[in-house]
Amino acid sequence: MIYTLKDVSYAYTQAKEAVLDAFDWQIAPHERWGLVGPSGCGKTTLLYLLAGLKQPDRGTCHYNGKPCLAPVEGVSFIQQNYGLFRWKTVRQNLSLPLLLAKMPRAEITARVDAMTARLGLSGLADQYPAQLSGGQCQRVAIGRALINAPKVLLMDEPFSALDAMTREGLQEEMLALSLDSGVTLVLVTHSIEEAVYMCDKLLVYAKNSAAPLVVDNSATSHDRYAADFVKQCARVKAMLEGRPDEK
Amino acid sequence: MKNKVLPILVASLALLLLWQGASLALDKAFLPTPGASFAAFVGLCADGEMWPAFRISALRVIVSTLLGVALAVPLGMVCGRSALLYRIASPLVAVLYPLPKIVFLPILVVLFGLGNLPKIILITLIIFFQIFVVVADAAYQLPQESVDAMYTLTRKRWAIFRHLLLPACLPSVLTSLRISVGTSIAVLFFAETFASFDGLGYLILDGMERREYADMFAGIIGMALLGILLYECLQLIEKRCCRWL
Repeated sequence: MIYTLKDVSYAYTQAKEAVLDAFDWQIAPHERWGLVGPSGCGKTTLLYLLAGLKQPDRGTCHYNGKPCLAPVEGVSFIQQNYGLFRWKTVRQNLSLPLLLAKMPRAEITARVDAMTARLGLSGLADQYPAQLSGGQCQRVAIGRALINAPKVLLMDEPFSALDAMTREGLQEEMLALSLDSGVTLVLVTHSIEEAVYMCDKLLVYAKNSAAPLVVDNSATSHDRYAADFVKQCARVKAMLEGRPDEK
Repeated sequence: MKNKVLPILVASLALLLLWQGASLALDKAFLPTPGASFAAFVGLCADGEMWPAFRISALRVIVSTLLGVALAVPLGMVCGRSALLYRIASPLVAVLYPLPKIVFLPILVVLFGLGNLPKIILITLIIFFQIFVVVADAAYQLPQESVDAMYTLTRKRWAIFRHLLLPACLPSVLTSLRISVGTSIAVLFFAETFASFDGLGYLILDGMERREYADMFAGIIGMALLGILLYECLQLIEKRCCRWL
């Protein structure tokens, strides 16, 4: 297992209830997980625990058998508001992980050029984030997260601020990228359709359930208009609302 | 470029017209016309008096500024990023910042004489706090999202400083420097009139004491030019180093 969480609990200082309580979870390599649930249920907190940016109050979180006490190499994180450094150009944002890994300049240039071409950013390499649209910023964030070929990609509502068409386009690109690279993906989203489209397993924070429910989504097609896709979305929605599953 | 230069020229012309009007209205020797003042300025340049005074005043301000930056920026960043140090530094700053440090000039002169050192120490002391407070606040208010984004890439302190802290705080550093230019010039003037035999401040005082008011105003023009040049240099640095703004 790439991640193993055992008996994990976490509460924010001022909160009355823990957002995570005695939570167990395992993530195998190459799996694509979607975390779906209402605001405040602990999805982002879970992502931060996996990223090593927070530590559980109780329990353990292990990455590749080692305690996840700090961010580790091989795990990339895309934040909700892109997490781009506004003082760096697109090229500089993309280069940063490779620069920090002390890669040779020539290789950095080659990888950055390839990534900008793949993500449709070729003419924007010398622009700053403030000069880009939301969709372009998100492409840069995706590019920076994937440029050093991570083993794990954590995404916190990456497309929530985008319009529907841009969102769907980026979902398709992201799915293609993750299938190509075999990266283990953990995606936090409010959108049921997004989770069903992009992921092969879902963690659903169902109403009236003490713990999130695991849903196998591997058999669902990637066609948003296919009957099984629509049915799966309805099933997940019913779980979230605490309604019986209408088969 | 045109858009920036024209309003400045218009504003300068307006001020000169105001000055001319006041001079003619008062008709007193102690307020010469702009023409007479600029003529005196040119005269002092030709006589070789203006440039040495300008140079030594500029040197004092620039060295003080560099010292102030060298001390205040790293300290400000460290205090801003450490909750404990911020809590320790805040009350100290609250007590020391409002103190009128200019009153320490006589002590500095007694300790270090009439040369450059007391003037540089005084200016550095005063602008240190201006820069420190702004930089500490900028470091403290660094968006957590940027910090988290950097932490997922590296935990190495130098890399975090080089790629996160320094560029994030740079606009604030330059803003605080632009504010401190005016303060530096004012303190320099005081120091050079109180305890000095050179510099633009001394030139101004000397003109006043000799009742050569055109020379006095020539010194004022020199000081104004120094302030404008420093300010414009900082603008250029910001334009070059903070292209994302």
